[in-house]
Amino acid sequence: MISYSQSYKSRCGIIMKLKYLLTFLILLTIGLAVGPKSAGAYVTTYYGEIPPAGLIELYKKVKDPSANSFVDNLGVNDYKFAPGEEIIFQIKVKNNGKIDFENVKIADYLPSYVELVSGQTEINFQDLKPDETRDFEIKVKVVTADKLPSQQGLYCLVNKAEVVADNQKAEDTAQACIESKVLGAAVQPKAGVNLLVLGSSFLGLSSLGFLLKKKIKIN
Amino acid sequence: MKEAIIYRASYPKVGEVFVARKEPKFKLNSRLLAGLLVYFGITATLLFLSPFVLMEAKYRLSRFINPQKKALPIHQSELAEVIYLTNLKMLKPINPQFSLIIPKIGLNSEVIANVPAGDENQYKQDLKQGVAHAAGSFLPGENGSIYLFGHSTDYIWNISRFNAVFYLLKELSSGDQVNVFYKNQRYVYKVVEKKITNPGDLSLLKPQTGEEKLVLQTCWPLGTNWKRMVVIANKV
Repeated sequence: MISYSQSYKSRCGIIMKLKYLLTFLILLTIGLAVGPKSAGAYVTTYYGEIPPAGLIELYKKVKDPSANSFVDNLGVNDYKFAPGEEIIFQIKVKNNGKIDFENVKIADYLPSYVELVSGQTEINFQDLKPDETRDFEIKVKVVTADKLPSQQGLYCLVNKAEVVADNQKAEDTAQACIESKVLGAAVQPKAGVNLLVLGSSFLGLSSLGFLLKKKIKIN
Repeated sequence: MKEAIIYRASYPKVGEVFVARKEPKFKLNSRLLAGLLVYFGITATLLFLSPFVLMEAKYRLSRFINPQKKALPIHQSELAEVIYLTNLKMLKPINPQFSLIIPKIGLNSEVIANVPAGDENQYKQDLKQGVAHAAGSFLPGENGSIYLFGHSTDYIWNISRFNAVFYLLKELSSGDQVNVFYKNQRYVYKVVEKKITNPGDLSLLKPQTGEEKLVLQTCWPLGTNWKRMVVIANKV
């Protein structure tokens, strides 16, 4: 026979278990509602199929003139560009998913101390098929030494590019460094003298003489 | 100005007056000064321009007399080369250790090796002797860019050692031959490009590997330091 006290204890234990279960279920609901949202920002359901993450990919590279190849970054110990020299950046976009992208927009943000020579900083195109890759080149020119800040001898620039393909986004950067002096010189050697002032002075003197003569004649 | 009234006593009519003016001293001095200024100004201008006028005239005349004289033949044998140059009394290097010869503009100058491009006082001294080779840039025979710079103009008082060797660099064009003699070897280059750059554009001063090329630099426009003229020649 089960006594009353035993039956009471058993009921209390079930209630406690139910409480724990309820708490667990509430926490699970909150967790599911909040947690996966950030991770699922780029997860889109297409007719019941969930494509893999990282659909659109962007690679930003810079050309290393010493190796004649594109690399991710050129650091302080790598090839350094001189004022007036051209730098070539490469942007590569790839559709790594299973569906077409209808609208693809690429934006390139040029850093300071460079001027655009060729290529576009804003590119729009349509229809990027799965596994399709497109390459773009942007050629810039480093400003002349007099336009660089005089305090530093070495500047490392970061060029950022981002792509928006339908509702997918990706970005990448490439670094290149500039040295403000080459062979110890901040300007090309002054190989000539400024004769303009001297020549003008001689001509000015003879003009003054003529004017004086004219004045004397009038008087 | 002083004036005096003079009555001519012998003249029959009464009351006729002559006014005599005395020239002031400073007027005479002014005339002298004006004459001196004109003389000095014109003489100085002519003297100032004479080296350039002479160089231009000499170049134009040589082009007129022998318009085909563009390049020296390239011989395989260095000995044959020297004989050829000697026999034809053509340009011979001033210093076979390091010289620059450009037949088209009659340039034959010694090259001073390893001149610091960043030290203005030093390279100004070296430029008095000829063309300067930028220290740190490559040398002939090496697989890179050789950077040479020279005066396009100089002051008149340097006329005795007038060293505006690159004055006629402006006359070079694509295909013109440039010879460099280095350690008794002749290196031949052909002009591929001529351009005007900003002084702060150091892209050509930066030693470039992978291709032997010659960079000749001077100031532009002539008589100023505003910009730089650069002639690029590739090895033949």
